[in-house]
Amino acid sequence: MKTHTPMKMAGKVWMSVGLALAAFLVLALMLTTSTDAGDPEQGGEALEVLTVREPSEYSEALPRPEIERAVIQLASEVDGVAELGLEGEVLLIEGKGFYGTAVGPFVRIGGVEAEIVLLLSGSRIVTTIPSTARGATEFVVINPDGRRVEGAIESATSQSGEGRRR
Amino acid sequence: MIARSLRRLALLAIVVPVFCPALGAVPGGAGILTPFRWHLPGPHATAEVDFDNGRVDVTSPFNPGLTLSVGHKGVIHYPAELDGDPPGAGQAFPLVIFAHGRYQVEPQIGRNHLQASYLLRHLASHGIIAASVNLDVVGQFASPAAIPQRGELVHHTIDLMEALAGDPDSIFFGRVDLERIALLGHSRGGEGVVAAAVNNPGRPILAVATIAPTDFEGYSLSGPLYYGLYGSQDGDVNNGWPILLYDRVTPLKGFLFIYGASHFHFTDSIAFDPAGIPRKAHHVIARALFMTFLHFAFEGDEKVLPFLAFDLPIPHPGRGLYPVYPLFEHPDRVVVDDFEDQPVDPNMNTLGGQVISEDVLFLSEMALNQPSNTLYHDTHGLRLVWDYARTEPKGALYESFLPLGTDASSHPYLSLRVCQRMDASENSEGEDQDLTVALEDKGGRIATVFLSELGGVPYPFIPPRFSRIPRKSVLRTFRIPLRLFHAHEPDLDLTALESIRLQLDRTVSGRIFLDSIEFTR
Repeated sequence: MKTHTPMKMAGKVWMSVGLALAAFLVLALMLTTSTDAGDPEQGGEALEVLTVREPSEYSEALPRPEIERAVIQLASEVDGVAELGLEGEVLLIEGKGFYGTAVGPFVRIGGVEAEIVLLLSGSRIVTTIPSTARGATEFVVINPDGRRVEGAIESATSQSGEGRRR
Repeated sequence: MIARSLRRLALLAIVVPVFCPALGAVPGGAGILTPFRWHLPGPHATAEVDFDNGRVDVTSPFNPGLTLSVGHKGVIHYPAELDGDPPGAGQAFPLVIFAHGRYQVEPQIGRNHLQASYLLRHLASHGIIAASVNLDVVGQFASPAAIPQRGELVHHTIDLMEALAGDPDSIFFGRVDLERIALLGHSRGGEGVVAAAVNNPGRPILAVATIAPTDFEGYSLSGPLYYGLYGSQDGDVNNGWPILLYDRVTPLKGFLFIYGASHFHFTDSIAFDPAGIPRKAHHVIARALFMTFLHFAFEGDEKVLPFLAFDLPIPHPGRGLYPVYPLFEHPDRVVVDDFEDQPVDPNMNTLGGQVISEDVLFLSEMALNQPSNTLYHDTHGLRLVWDYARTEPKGALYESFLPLGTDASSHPYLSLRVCQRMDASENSEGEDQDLTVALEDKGGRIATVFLSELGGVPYPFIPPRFSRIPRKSVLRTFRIPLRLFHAHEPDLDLTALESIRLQLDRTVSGRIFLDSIEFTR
């Protein structure tokens, strides 16, 4: 069994301190030269999705979303959906006050953004169910002005297949 | 059938006589006014006629192998005599197809194509046939956004106009100049017309113009001329998409960033996001800019280029009241540095010349698509930071050397794009930045121009209090006439230049981004 003498232990501690000091000096040198290391502007990043909006900024005349019921159905059972090319299970949200502009409405199921969102009318939305949100019972609808409403899925009984493109 | 119904409708069409204060300026009744009055109505009365072309096919946004059948309807604005027919026997008018934005809000659904009449009537008064197609038929697609489908509907509308132009029963028989087509769109319709141009089966689409387009598809457009408008207070497409799209377009291209303009004030009457300037100002700017742009596209009139590039401001009633900042690039140019070379080398420019700097606090080439740093450009650029409270001496400069004896005399402008970094401690909120731009020739003669002579580098737009509109640092193009350098140093030899120098000597500190250093037309 190996043992460490106090002298050897002290040497290792000093070596660690020395390495840390050297690393600190290198870092400090990088930051004080005319390069931009460590600068957040230096690193590129992907473009964000549209930012969350503040409802008070928008026209008061815009409708406020309300949910009456939300059920999981086969796309073929929802009027006007099958002919658009959707198959499998979808979430049908009924209510009022839904609308879209350049973007939206957004639907998040179990916190995950739905990939396909169809605004069939101001009172009906159909979305696919993200595979990572299968089994979730809560969702939120967000209108383009940022107004949101939360809802619960009534019959989350047969989430066996994600809605998919035909 | 369509032609006949159009004919009938045309008899009922409302002919709108327009006030023509500039009519006297029309050369030979050609239907085009002097470029100095594009914001004013043109010489023609106008009429409009609805069309209903039954159903057409578009691809499914979910599956390009499937087709969807959708309704095809819209409205055609055109120059008209009092009897409802287009004027001038046999004269053919250029064609514009307009694609509206998405406002899928009841009861507006189905009527959004009527929301640009302020603009389309204006074009018609100047001798353009402008057809606006209803795109609400694909408006139910929140995600995916059905952008290619909008482009397909634009092409269906051109098909219809071709059919009408070839139908002896139509009022448009022989009256549509199908060799001169331009596309114009707003928001999703703006990206839709870009889609139509990108997926063009070979039609002579001369120009594409957009208002606050989306950028879901990330198209790169080349071929047609391009012009875009975008408001700093856009509360819908508020993520800088129009700027990203502009950066990917191949020149000739222009862009106007309008402080205080919103998204939906560019429509006739839709109220969604608040604006800092009146709706009428949006309309005046759109009419003036787009008519100037279309005149350039359709007539090839080079005299209006200085207006599109904002070398000369386009006169309109709001000029001077509403700050606007242009971007512009002409294809006839010598690119000194676009900062796109890989691997990144801040010590060498695009021409292969050496780049040096002295006493600059920070200097780096970097991606300018960084929303968290207020940057929304699809390009790489140069960051320059100086602060004489922290460094001495006060003579920071950046110098880009040109290949042996570069001759810039055939290009009348030195162009560069510059912006201030918003919220940077080195910039003073609300105040312009300034630089000294110097040209040095082989003989050592130096001529300088201050950017402030061309208006200065504006402080970025500050959104209203409590607004969630992202703060954006947007580049502005400066086109410095080379004659201005000559005026300051008459002996400067533009046929044998040695370097371009930026002297950071006009303010105590600054943090700016810079791109596209070019000699250009």
